[in-house]
Amino acid sequence: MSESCGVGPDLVWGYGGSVGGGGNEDRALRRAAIPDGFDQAFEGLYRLAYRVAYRILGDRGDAEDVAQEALARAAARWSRLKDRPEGWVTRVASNLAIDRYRRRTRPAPPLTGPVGIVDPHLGERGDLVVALRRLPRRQREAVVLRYLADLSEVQVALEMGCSVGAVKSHGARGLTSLRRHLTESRGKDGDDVWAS
Amino acid sequence: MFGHLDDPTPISPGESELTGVLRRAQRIRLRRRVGTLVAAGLIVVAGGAGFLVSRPAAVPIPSSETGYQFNALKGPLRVGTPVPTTALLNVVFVDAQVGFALAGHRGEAVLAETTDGGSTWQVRNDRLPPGYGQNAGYPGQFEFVGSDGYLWGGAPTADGAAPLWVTSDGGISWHEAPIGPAVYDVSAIGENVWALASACNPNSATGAAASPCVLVLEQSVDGGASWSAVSGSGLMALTNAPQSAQHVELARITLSRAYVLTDTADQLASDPNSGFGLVYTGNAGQTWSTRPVPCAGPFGLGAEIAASGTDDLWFLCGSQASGGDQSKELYRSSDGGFTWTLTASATGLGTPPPPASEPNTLPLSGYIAPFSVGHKNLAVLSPSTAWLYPTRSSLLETVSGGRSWFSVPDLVAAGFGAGSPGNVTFISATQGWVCSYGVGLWHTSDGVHWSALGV
Repeated sequence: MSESCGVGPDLVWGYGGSVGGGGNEDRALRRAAIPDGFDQAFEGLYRLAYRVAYRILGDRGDAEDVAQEALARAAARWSRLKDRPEGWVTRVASNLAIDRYRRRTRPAPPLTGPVGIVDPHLGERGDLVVALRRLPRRQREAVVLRYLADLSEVQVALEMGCSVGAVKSHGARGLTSLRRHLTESRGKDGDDVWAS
Repeated sequence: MFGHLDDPTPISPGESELTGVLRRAQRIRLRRRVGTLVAAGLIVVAGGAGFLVSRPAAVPIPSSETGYQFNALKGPLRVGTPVPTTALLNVVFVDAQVGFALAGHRGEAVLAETTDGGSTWQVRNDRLPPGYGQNAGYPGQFEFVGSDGYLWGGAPTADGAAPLWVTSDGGISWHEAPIGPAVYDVSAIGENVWALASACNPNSATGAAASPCVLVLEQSVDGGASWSAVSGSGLMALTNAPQSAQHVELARITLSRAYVLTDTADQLASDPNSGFGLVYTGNAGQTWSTRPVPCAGPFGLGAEIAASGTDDLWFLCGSQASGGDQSKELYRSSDGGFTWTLTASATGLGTPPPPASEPNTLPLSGYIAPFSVGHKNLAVLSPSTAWLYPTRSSLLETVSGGRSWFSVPDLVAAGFGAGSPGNVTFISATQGWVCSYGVGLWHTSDGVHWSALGV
């Protein structure tokens, strides 16, 4: 086991200099701090985290920030995740995204620009956050992993530590609850939410 | 399912994203390390604080912490655990340095010991016989001569007895003396110990049926190890067995001379209307002779006696008490109790108030027997000087043979007189201590000035 590059003491996290800007410094940082195998998995995991975050947040900058944070946390504990990191990264990214969505306390700025810059799915994302938070934990896990992260049922089963059948069951129940809530929201708020 | 929520122009992470992630990971790792160090520091600090709060017995500290903190200590108290002076209920001193105390702890009484004149106290035994703490109404009396100790006057046991407990190892272990079952008062001079006891059990039906009881003097010449009845058929017949130690008092002067006062006497009472009985022995209890009791009328409810010598007697009479006040009379005798002279009085509660031209010469405030915690609150040091510490009153002193009394301002300011249990004790004409639960322990070495101990 190559713990020499893991998050344990062997990893050279003691890098204390500035890493801003310089290509040489970036390379030094990478040489010193990249856990074993992390750079190979980085791109796929980043895309995964970004996708999950964007589906929830609908904002490119926020989604990138969530993806970076999720990947950074993964890197910090890579030795424990590297065998199967997708599920962990998905959970972290979705949780971060939901938290960030809930912290958006400031009202949306007045729409002064072109209508095209407005997220057409703004209302749906909000309903999705609310609906996800209302789901039981296992159903929420199944929905997030299976439908937000687009992992296969086998992968989800491995992540959740249950059978594929259980994943199907949790996912189906979760989706039903999710659809019911989204339908209720749509009926209550009107189509303008979805069309905004 | 949620594909329509995707970014229409998904990003392609490259070197800059990886670098950003690695920087964040580095900060996370750093935060983790700092957090670990802070947590370790907090654990050390908390451990240190816990160590200080728990106050291990090995750390000698001045007994200045509050009784509240002492009461916060749970479970058995180890021998040596510091006891604050504010927890002391009743103190006695063997000499100028060594003393013992009953201390209140979570409603129970524990035995504390000092070896530095009262500045610091440590738990000696937290498993005293039951019935001596706040939960029992603070009824206990005790005495120590060296490492021999005597504890009596506790709340009745389950079978109604009021036994005498004896220790010969400084209070570590106690055994019940084979006398009684009711023991009312004890006095030890060296290893010669007298105990006033009754064969009647005052707190049981069988005891009541056996009345009239006989008050018996039991004597031990080996520090309480063995006992024998001295007074033969009894020194005094009692109408009813006294319910508590407050009703019987032994004023012992020498190895052979003593007075005994009880408020439930029968045949030997000189005043059949009062119910008091006062007897004297000059031959170590072989024979007893009666003396008149001066208390009468509304002052016939309680009485206390003290002596500075065989012939110099001080006698306090008390009325019904209420609201912290009690009418009192002080009588003096210089002929061994044959004649009495009213020396001072406090009237106005259940008795006519004094004329305006003749104000009370005793404070009306404060309870004496039978309402005092113990009846040994009158310390007569000489024919002119005495200290009186009535319950719910401050410490009072007279230097005029009892004609006038005054309180010690410092003690009043400290809170003595607030009504907490406590006592006054002297080992010489000038060396004394006074304690009050919740207030603390004060000491005088000249009989004039008092200073707080353990602060």
